[in-house]
Amino acid sequence: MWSQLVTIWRVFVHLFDKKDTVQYPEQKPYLAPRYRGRIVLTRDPDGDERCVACNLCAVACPVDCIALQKTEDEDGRWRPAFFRINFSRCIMCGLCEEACPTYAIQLTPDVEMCEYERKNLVYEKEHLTIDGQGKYPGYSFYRKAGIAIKGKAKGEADQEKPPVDVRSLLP
Amino acid sequence: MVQIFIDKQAYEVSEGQNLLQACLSLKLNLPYFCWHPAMGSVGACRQCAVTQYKDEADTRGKMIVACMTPVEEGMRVSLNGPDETHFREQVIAALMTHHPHDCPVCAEGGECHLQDMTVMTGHYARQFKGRKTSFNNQYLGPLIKHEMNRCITCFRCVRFYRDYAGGDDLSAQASKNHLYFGRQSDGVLESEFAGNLVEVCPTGVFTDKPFGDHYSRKWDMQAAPSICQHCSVGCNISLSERYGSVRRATNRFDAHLNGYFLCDRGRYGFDFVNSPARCQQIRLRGKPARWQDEQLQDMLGSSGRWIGVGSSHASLEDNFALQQLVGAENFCPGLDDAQPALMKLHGEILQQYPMASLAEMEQADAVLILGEDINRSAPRMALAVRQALLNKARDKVESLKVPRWQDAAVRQVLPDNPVPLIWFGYGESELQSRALVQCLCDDQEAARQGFLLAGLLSEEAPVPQTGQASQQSSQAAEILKNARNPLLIGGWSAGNPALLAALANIRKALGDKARLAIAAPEMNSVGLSLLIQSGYLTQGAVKEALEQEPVNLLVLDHQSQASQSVLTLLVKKARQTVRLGLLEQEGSQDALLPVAAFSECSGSAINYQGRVQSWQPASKMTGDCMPGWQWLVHLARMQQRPLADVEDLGQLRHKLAQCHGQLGDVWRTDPHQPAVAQQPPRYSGRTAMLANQTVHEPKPYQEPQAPYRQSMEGVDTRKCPTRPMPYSWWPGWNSNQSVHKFQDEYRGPALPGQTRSVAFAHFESSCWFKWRPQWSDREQVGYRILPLKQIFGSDGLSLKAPAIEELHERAQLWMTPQLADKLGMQAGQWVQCDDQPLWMQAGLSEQVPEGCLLAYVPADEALPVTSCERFAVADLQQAEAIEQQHQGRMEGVRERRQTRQSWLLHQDEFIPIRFVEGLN
Ligand code: SF4
Ligand code: SF4
Ligand code: SF4
Ligand code: SF4
Ligand code: FES
Repeated sequence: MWSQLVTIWRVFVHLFDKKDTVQYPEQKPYLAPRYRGRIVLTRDPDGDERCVACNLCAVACPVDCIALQKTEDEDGRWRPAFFRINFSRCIMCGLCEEACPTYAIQLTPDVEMCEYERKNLVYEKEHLTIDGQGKYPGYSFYRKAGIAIKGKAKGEADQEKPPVDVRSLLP
Repeated sequence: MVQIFIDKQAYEVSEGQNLLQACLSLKLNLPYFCWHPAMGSVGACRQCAVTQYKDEADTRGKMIVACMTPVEEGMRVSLNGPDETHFREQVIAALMTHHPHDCPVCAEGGECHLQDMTVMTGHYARQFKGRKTSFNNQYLGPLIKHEMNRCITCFRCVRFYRDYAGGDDLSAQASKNHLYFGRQSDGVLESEFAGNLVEVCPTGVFTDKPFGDHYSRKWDMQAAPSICQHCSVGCNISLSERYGSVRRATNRFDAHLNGYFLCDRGRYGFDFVNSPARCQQIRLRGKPARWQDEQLQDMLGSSGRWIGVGSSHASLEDNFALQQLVGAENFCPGLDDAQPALMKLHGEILQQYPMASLAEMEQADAVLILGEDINRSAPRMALAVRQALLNKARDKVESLKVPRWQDAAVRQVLPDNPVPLIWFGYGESELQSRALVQCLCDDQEAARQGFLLAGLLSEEAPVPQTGQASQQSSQAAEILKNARNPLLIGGWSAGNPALLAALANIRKALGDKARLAIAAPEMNSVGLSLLIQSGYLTQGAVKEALEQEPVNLLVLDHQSQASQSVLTLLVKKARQTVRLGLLEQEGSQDALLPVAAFSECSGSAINYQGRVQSWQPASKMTGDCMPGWQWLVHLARMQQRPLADVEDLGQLRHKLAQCHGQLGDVWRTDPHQPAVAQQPPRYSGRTAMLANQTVHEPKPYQEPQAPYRQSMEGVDTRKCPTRPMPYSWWPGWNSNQSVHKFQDEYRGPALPGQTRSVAFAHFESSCWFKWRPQWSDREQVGYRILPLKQIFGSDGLSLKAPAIEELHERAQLWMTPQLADKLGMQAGQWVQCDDQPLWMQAGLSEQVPEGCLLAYVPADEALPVTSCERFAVADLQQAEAIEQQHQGRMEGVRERRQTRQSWLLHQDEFIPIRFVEGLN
């Protein structure tokens, strides 16, 4: 009997708590930057596409909703020839972001992705790519990688010595 | 068998191996780099370190490298103790100090042995804080890409390239942290086995260039067990597909044939399936047509005599269907006049003796090569013979109590312990240069000497009336008599059946200790040998028939200009011609039915040994393409001929086995076995790759009762050990090294699913072949022209692969320097023979027999003469024009490659979905 009375009292007191429910959509809740919503492809500090078409996001995706094809440009960079995410399958798990070695693919706090037609949820590269660097500013994969691209010859990456002279007798 | 203790557990392993091999055979995970099952041990990388204990009481033990230690009775080692685990982790840590941060943009990623081994040792964080060494790359030709930064200095590449395959333009340069593996300077790698570097190198230093242009990760590719289509060896390959196009061919381990290596024609030649020149549409008199068109139906259904021309480039099933449709009396096995006789003889010999597999060839202790340049006509066979040449050295080191797999020791004693190689023939090649006994002669003389050699070995052997055994023949007789395992090799290249007969006689004279191998030109030449046992039409007979009555021609695709020109003549005389075309060709056939390539449908072929091998489709058919046999069944229905009742491939094969009893149950699959999934377990993108066309994921198309599924729905290859594997993968072993998880030992018992039947029962007692005078006494004037082959160029099918077209050799005419002097010619000049339009580049060589010239003519050109008297040398202007024409062609190749590339990329995005259920 006593415990029931206590319960009723506690429920009553809750009536005067601060409200968590907001009047969505007029009022929007705060979502942290790390919130897992719509996926974007970001650019490196120089404004170039970050994605190198390594396929790691695709293989990490548990519902297999990322498809892409690698191509190589004149400048020696690997790029996706196409990059497609079928959001009607995506479960916003964020595994692709975890897998991405270049910080290219990122989840954003935008969760408003409703459509009447499923096919409108199929996003191609041009729909996914944003102009900024997203959550991880300052990182450029090609500055770390050993392959030569236009504007960065062998030995010019971070932490690299100039190319070896194979003909030299010095060790 | 000996007993050894690994981590205190007792195991039985077979003697003579090293500890690393034993551990891997026991399916234990022990990391390694420099050891390779086919190349033995050198102990360069120290990655396979384990601790060995003296006895049970010993607790400290000492560190040894497993690959350099033979297994011994009662040996005690530990793989997983703290010391050796730490040591191995530190070896990786050291290798990684200068390794670039490349995995995402490395074509090796996902099938990298270095990645696998790093994970296996548990090394994960970089401890080195200094700056990394970097290297400049080299241009190594259109087949291989070089990215030197990724090297871990395991030395496998040079050991393969120089020691195993005999190349000499790749070497280890500089020292210590500057060690560099490359050529003296930029340039195309010369060895025809260079492509194997892609698989031999455990890292991404050497990668497959054409594949890199249209790349996909290994885990993303649907693979199928397949068979190389470019020579009669029939190496086992694995074809990989993504988004509807075939991406690459890799070696598929086969204990009998290719083992771990392919030749470059096989590795890169498959690319013809992606050629824009592929026939995709039904055509009627050059215009696109539909199957329902009345005109077409009338033409195809027309009664009257049909003559079928088969092709050794087409599958056994297609040829058989054609033969059934038109009847054996109307079936011509090909348009090369010399071939039917060779086919017949090859079949006869196969009925008398089994032929050596490549694995058996590697056991030989004396080799006779009679008038065949296997380096060019069956490259992988030449590589096997090269390995046989080590056998005496291996015996020698063994007698000195050093194990046979101590590669460095074997190479040390090699110069003093050569395996005798006897060479009768012409032309320069790698094997010719290593011959101990050499006789420079043309094919006729080689055959004659072969017969005389048989006569020296056995009194009963028939010998030609004229001619005397040369000194080399008597030497050869001596060597072969004393050998334990002599190997006899010949082939069809010279177009002379006498060579085959001579070899068969030598085989009979030597008895069962000798092994025989005869290289045929095309992947299914021997298949036709089987089919024509019941009679056939020669090309001449076809011509005659066409002249006498109105005849309809039904032709399978031919891939050489020589056959093409013959066909053009026949087409003119025929009432109408229907071609089952794979690739677009000039010439006017009345109807063209596009056939599926070997990557798109199942089929079989018979290799030089008579072994029946089948392939599975890796991708789906596009356009109007259908398998050749299926078109033929439709035709049979329209014409109400036999074959009309065939519903599927199984029934056709059943019929084939009925006609040729020995084929028995080659194709029988166990219906209770689950189907094998062709897609790896981590195949990605399934719910997105078609989403731009439809979001309703279509059900994957499935052939009823097929043993393979083009989807993930089936057991993975590890769980169906009786079927050939589509791809090789094992948890923790993503690279091709995973194959050891499927095999007992290197070249030990065959992998499951690889004991294939032999199409020729060796039931007939052997007989002596008689010498026929017409084999050597052909009338001729002027110089005899002997045919020469090249790896890239002699096979018309692979020539349609852009990378190979870029490398293909132009026509050549070789002569002795003396003759050149006499004719006033110089090396490099362009020459015409008699009035033939073909320009050939003159070359000087001592390896040209007296009174002969050696002509190499690429498959897309023809030189329809066998001798010539007059020569025309190109003047400056003409030479320039020839050069320009060539430049133009190369330009065209590059352009076509570009357009093809963008076309393929477009296809990736909009996958042709004709055969996917649930959409139509
Ligand atoms: S993981 Fe990152 S870099 Fe790799 S394909 Fe995906 S988005 Fe591109
Ligand atoms: S070789 Fe292997 S470890 Fe090195 S970058 Fe390539 S994939 Fe990565
Ligand atoms: S290039 Fe490859 S095979 Fe050669 S030493 Fe380096 S890692 Fe080994
Ligand atoms: S040897 Fe012949 S069958 Fe083998 S890979 Fe080369 S071309 Fe193909
Ligand atoms: S594999 Fe044993 S030392 Fe390299």
